[in-house]
Amino acid sequence: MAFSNDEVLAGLAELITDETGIDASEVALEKSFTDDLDIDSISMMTIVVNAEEKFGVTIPDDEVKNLKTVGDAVSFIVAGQE
Amino acid sequence: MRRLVIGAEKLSDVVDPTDRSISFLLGDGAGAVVVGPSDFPGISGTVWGSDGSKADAVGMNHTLTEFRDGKAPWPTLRQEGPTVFRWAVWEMAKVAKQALEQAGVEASDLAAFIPHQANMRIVDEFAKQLKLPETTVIARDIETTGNTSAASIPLATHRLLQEHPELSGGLALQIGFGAGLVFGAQVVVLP
Repeated sequence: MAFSNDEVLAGLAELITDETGIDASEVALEKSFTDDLDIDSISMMTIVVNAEEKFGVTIPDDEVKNLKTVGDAVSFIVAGQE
Repeated sequence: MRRLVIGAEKLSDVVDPTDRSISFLLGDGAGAVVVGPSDFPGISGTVWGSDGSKADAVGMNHTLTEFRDGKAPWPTLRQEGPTVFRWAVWEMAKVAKQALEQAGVEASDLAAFIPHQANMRIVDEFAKQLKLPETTVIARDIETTGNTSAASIPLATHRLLQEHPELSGGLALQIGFGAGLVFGAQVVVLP
């Protein structure tokens, strides 16, 4: 099943909250994972693996460093479903 | 016939102190065990293998011959941390489960879990993936010893038994992994 942009954002926010405790309301498209949300590379990888399972997409290791903002991740996940 | 098995590392010789991604994780150490005959199986079959597709994830940044010939500085150890983390947790969790299956034990039978002390975040997430009960003592020797590579499991096992002597005779899942990427897992009866 394909998730919409909003559904992916909400789902991703939930995964971020589970991993880091950051409130879902902080997770906005323009936010940078490292600079704004203070998510380190290890937490990022845990979120990525959980997102793969949740959304049924594949996010290769060398793609992860290109996902600088929440919006980058949402776009990649949505595109990965098509 | 007894055998002495030794794991020893002097990683400080190959650490770049300016590399923030790895330098403070590593340590020097050595540990050894004596393996000998027993009236009961004290070491299960080993599940081991390698994933050559990730050969570049951990390794030296130059060769000794390049250094010898003046083409590169002294080689140091480097790694792709996030790649190693993902593989060490999610792929090694599968290997750990295979080792338990091979030994015919459940996670709930384990008195202790002794993973290679690569990184506390790996140990924590790994334990979570295995759904270990609270009764299983998890080795966290890395906290004060650092990642001593081949020495990490014997050092962690030794400390675990020093701090929890009541675990002697109990089952422990040991799992090692590292550059290659290679891995090996087994269930043992703690001495």
